[in-house]
Amino acid sequence: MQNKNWLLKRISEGILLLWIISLVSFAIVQVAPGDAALSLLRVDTVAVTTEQVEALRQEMGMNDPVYQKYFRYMGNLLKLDLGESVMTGRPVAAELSHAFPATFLLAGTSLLLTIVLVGIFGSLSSRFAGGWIDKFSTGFCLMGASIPTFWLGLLLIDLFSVRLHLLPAVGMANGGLILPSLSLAIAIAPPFIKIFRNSLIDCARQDFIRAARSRGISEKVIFMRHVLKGSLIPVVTILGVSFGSLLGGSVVVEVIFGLPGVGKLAIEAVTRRDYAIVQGFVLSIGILIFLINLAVDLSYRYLNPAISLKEAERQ
Amino acid sequence: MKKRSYLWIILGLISCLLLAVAGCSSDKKSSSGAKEKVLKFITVWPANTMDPHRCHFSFILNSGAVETLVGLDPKTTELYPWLAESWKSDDGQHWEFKIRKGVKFHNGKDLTAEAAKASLERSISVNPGVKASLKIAAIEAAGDILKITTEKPYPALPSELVHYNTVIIDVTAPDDKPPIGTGAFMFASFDIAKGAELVKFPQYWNGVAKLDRVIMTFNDDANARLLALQSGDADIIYRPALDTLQTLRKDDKVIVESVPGKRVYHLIYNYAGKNQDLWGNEEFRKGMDALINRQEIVDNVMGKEAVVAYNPFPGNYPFSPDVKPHVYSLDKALQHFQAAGLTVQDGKVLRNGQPIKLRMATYIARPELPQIAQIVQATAKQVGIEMEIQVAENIDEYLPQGNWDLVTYSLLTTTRGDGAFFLNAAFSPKGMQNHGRLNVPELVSLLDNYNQTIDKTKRNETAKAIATMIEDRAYNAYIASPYETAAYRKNVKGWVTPSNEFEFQMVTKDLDIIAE
Repeated sequence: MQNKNWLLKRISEGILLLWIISLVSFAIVQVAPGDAALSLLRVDTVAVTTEQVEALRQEMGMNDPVYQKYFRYMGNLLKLDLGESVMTGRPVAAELSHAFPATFLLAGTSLLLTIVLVGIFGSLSSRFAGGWIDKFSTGFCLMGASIPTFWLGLLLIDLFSVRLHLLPAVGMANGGLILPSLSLAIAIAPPFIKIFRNSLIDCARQDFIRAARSRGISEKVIFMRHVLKGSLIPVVTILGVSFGSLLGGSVVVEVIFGLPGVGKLAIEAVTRRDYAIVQGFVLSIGILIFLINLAVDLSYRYLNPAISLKEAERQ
Repeated sequence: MKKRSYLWIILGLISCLLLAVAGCSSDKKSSSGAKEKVLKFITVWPANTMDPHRCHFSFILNSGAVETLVGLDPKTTELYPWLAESWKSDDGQHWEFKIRKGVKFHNGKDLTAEAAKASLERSISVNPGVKASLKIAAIEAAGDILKITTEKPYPALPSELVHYNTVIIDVTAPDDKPPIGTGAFMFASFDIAKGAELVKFPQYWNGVAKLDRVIMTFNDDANARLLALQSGDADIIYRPALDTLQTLRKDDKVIVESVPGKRVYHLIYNYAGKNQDLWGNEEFRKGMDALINRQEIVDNVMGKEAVVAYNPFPGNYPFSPDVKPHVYSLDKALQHFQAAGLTVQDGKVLRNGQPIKLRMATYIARPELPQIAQIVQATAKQVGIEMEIQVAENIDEYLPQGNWDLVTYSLLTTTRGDGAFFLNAAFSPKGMQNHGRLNVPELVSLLDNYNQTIDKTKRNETAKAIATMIEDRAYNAYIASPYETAAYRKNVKGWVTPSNEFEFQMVTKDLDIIAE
């Protein structure tokens, strides 16, 4: 019952949050400089006059009062209509749904690789704390956190594509996701490795672990049921948040590896002043991050039932 | 026991990693047809839509799948009959384009004047730029003749029909599929986010292509394009980075080709800003011109991958001004400044006893421009002119604010084999590229005359006269014209590096690849 109430509360908070996100995405576009008129008229290759530009702005409603634009925007949004891209004439939803799979795939693979790296380095360095493996892991973390992602990406291309001819330099086919995912994973894994390592060490020193051991419970069961589960809480929380930032923040990697993701789409839309796409991007990323945070909260409650119990006590 | 637990977890994680790798590799294509000639080409910009009439980049024209009524020869930059066999007009307003016979769309339909009319009408209706560019009042199809009436006499019409948004496609075909054109290649698949796979069109009117397939992708990161060429993921890359050309030229498997481009880097002066009295003074402008060390810019900023320019049309175009000597000299600059009524004292120029302070705008979309700004700033400082450099994120949105004195700028000047775009956009009083709001009645009168001249020779003479006036009176300062470059593997044959990406097919029927 408590969990149901909690979920309802989170959903109503979510609706309010969505309205705020929609307002923010509308406001961003209103204060952003420029509009699509220059791009649409191809001013770099077509001789147009200032009057023609102004006439197009008028025709497209760009000179309308802000409140009119807002009502139009909200009216469409309530009908789940994100509008049309002025550059392509296609619905914004179609443009985003075309670009999201590549980003999801990149973010998902990066997250998977991050988990693998965190698992390997975190557990090994906690098991052999203070030893050379631990020092190597610290060095890896320092290096990963210091190298800019775009440079790491270029280094990986140089090694695996140019010199070894093992993986493609661009595109997603033929294992093309490996290098961009690795670039991102190496960049985001270091803090999680340290957190996971310290969490494992702290957890293994807890009284209840010693008690379990004295009761004769096997090390395997202790590790899997108690140490690992207890150590995962901080990691899961931050990993969840990282997935959100991966969705919106992997644009550099998308550009270098020529991946057709949503970050690249948004950058191009900003450059071309295609603000319907920008609004759609902000809104959809906002919704996704909200859903991810919700999922993280749910997993948190699963991993640590004490949270639900404490809430019940308070009530 | 504890050690074994760790071991199992680590083995599990490594398995995950291997599975991920295997999963990613699963879409590896099996090679089909060992004798098939396949070429991989990486250009810079993607098609932001599959609709060639709306597309903001020339990816679709470059792909060789579509054609325009009028073509532009990449070697001579002369107009040539393409899907229109010929064209004529007596008054520059009523045009007749004879549509080529025997041309088929990729879906087997014949190209007719009616189909060309429908295609042009669609382009005008969905693209305000094309509407502004073609200025068409009416189109009519009569047999194999396409009759076009423009809003007013418009001699530049054939040249404007080279624009990549005016390509002729079958408009009855579904618009959510790749476009159905008439080119030597047709789309086997096309994903604007990834690229296109093109196969040769066996019924191409001008002879079947030598290549069987072309994989055309894009990447706006120059380093990534370079690495793709070096790793064998590309056979041709368009526009490798300037600083990598020397290294590439040492690679014995690669050919690097540079050709004169159609873009000119220049300084625009603000004739409507707070220092308009200075820019309105011809002697001051000539003094500024003498301060620009063009050769240093070409040698050091552009790695000698450019030619020095003194006017908007450098080169040997029929409308290029005759070559005249321009001297980079601080002394000569000071003489001009003195003639402009300014005080010269100890080698420094003063206005009302104070140093002149100017704001120079620039932008990083073309990395050479901020460097050019720095060179001009350093030279001006030697004669006491202080220039504050302002880097704008979007220069076309910054300039209308008017709070600048001069700007480093880049624009195509000899577009579509004609100077009409540049002269009208940059020197018409209300032209969108006339950022300095220059308004000289004599120049405007010449421009009006040019816009109404139908005879090609007279038209070129008028364009030349305008460009000569611009050079002689130092309206703005033209500095350098960068080369366009491409790099390709030595087994690629028939590649022609275009002088810009907007006006030419890059994948052509003559392109070929031989065994290494």
